Amino acid sequence: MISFLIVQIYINFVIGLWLLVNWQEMTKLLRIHPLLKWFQFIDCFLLNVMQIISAVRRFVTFVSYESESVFIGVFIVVFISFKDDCRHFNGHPTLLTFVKRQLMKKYLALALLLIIASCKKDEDTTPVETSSLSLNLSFKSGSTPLLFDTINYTNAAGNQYSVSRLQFYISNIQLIKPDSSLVDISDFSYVDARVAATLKIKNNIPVTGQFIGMKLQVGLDSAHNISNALPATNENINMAWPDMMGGGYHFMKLEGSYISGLSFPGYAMHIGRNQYLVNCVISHSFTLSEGSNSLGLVMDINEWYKNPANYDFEVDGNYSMGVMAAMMKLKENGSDVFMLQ
Amino acid sequence: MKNKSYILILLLMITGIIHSCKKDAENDAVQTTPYNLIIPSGFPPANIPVGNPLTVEGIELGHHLFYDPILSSNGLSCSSCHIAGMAYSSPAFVAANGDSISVLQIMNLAFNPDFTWNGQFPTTEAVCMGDFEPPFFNTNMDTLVDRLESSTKYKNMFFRAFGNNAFRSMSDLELKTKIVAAIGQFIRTLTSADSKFDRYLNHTENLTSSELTGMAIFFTEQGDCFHCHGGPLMTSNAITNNGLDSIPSGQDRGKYNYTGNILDDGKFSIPSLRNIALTAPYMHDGRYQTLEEVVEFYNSSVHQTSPNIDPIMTKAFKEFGLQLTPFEKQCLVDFLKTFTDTAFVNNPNYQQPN
Repeated sequence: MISFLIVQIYINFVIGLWLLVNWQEMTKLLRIHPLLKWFQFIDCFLLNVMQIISAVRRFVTFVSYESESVFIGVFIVVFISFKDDCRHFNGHPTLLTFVKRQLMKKYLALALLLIIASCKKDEDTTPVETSSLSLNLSFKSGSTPLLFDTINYTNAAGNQYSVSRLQFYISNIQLIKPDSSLVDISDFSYVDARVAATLKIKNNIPVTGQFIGMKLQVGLDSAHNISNALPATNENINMAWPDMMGGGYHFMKLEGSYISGLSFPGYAMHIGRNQYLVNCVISHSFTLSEGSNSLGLVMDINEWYKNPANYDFEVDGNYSMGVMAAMMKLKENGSDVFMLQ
Repeated sequence: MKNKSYILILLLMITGIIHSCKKDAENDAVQTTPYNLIIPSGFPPANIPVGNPLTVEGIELGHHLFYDPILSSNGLSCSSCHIAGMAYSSPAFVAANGDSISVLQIMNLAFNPDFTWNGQFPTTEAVCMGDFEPPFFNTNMDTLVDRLESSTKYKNMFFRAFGNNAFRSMSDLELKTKIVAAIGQFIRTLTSADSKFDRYLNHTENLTSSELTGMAIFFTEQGDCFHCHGGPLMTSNAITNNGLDSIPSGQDRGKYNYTGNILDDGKFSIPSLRNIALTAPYMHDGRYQTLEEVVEFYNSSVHQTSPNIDPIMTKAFKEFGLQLTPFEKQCLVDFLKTFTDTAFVNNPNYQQPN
């Protein structure tokens, strides 16, 4: 904390010093009266003050002091020590000594109050204490963690395959209570298995306690599965399902290649359309407590290809696009692709 | 003395209040005007580097530099190879090593995540840095400084954009960084979103029957163009292999050439199809001269055994190509021509400044 303040003060005084040194050139260019030099310097000086204020406020919030007077007390101490520092720094003690004397005499309290008051409306209100659940996604194939682009995995039908793309939506996550009632916790999230930033799904949870499982969907419900219904991000745009084929979005794109005799054809398991929304149910007992909770959510890619029916690239087709039977099989196999840990 | 102190305290309080309301206080001596990039409906958010926000002054400087041979030692300017009528592209040129390279168009780059054919560069600025070198500008930095120093126009523009026009006291890197920052800002303003196809989607213009047939091929599994060229940008912005060569070599290895990863062999950044009728020749090396040749490539000549070929290129029943009839191929070409945006090409805000 303290070192953070010192670094801030230092950086800003270097800038202030630079402005003083270069002022001659600046004024020539801007044709500004040299008196404004001091204005600029004070400007910079106050910038430090503001940064200290915000840092101190953060600190005060951190240690849960609510009282403004405590804050002002802390501030004044920092302010006075800070001013001593800057006298050494700038090489122009006259102005600062003058300012210090004046400020300390009469106007300090007034100026401070004004500054604090002017800050106040920008400051966020004290955060409401909520409990949250982070789901950390990971991927495996059978017992092997997913490594992209290597033919490393074998599904139940015996196809040896690699994965080059795995993108999908997870929506409507619900927690199952011991009495089987459900608690809604999420809308929808986009996941790209290659992009770490998409692998953590954090939601606030309205209740805590014991749970016996989780429900979620791979894809988007009919309220969201409408062309242009989602924000126009690159991710959503690239998941769009052309209007000519019914509109909405891809629920999942799972692509790669596999070994077929002596060749390595590609495969692409794309699912979309409302009737192929994948409903997953995960049985797993867990307890969520007040504050932050996290659980691991693991997708076993092999589960897309088995249970209840084996999916064989050679028989069912290596492309699910436009093949109703293939998409239906994936939808049904998909109900147990996830597990919690 | 007493009065003076009042003024000082007043100043202190005012500046304090102003600063406290600002989120990021600026120490720059010049005030630049933020430029509000208009994002066409349906487009994703713009991808603008944090260190180089768009400003009216920066864009103006970049606009002038883009058209000015002052940067080069050989009479070239950016506009020599990025010609308005060709959607700011130009025919292929031959590099020193004999490789033919198709000049990419400049269009909607504010929405682009990676640059050049193999996606090697993260920003336009990074690409532009290379243009000071041969075979492009081959800039002599000493004479460039002289030329800029003697130009009142650029002295003023640099000061307005960056608050600094002391060219002689800048290092070469500093000066180049400022130049590419300004050009990068200008380039990000070039937005194309008013083609015949856009107007069709907005219900203000109709497509002909052959164009509609082409659209059906484009947006369904029949032609399956949309997986890579769908969306408002007409590119998914992925880097992938479309099966141009069975065994890629030299520059045809694409992304492999800078990652050295065998899994990147043959992969290129998917280009936008906007204004595609204006940007011949096609593919990274300009191997196809016409859209008909390109369609024929996808129809019958994709090398299915090319390494790392995108799974989308090797669908079942398409081992022998898309098998489009000559009529369907013509319809597809007709549809591709509806991506031409003449308002973009003729936009005076992008053309040679006065």
